[in-house]
Amino acid sequence: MLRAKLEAVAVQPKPVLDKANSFGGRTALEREAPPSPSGGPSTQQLSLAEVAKHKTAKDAWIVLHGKVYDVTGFLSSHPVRNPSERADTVLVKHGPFTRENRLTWQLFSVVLLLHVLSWDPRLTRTRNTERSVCDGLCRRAGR
Amino acid sequence: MILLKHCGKDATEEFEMIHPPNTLKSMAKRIVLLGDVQR
Repeated sequence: MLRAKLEAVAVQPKPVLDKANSFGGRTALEREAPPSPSGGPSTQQLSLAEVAKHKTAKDAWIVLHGKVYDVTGFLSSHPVRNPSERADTVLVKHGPFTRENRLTWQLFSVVLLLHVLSWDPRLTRTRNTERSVCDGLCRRAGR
Repeated sequence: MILLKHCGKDATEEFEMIHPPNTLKSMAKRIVLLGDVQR
């Protein structure tokens, strides 16, 4: 425990020095470049001990694929907000109508409506008439 | 919050287990890349 603390203290000033060297004294806001999916040039080196300090709702960092991200602005928009609510229970809790599949349901209901509207009772009768005509012809032909 | 539970550490394994591959790209507007992890 104590050793971990000492390590954190020893490691902490390093990124500050790196920042000053590689960014020529620019402000913190300028240094926080938006994440590029392809990776891009590395911004600064951060230790895991430094990242471990930022785990509150107002200051949340996370490590993904070896890169440190500030996800504070994303916390409120994360789909799974409740710790007891896992991704697979979302469907059970919120039902089949979610934001993601709304288009599918709209398409389904439109197709269903068109199908119902285009149904004509005469179609059934026509088919029966055709069959009886066919029967009559067959009978006349002696088959 | 499940996301907050994983903050402050390396959550790559848990993240990959749950999310489809394009998730990080779709989050890009609301998260900030701070830098790389010191080895």
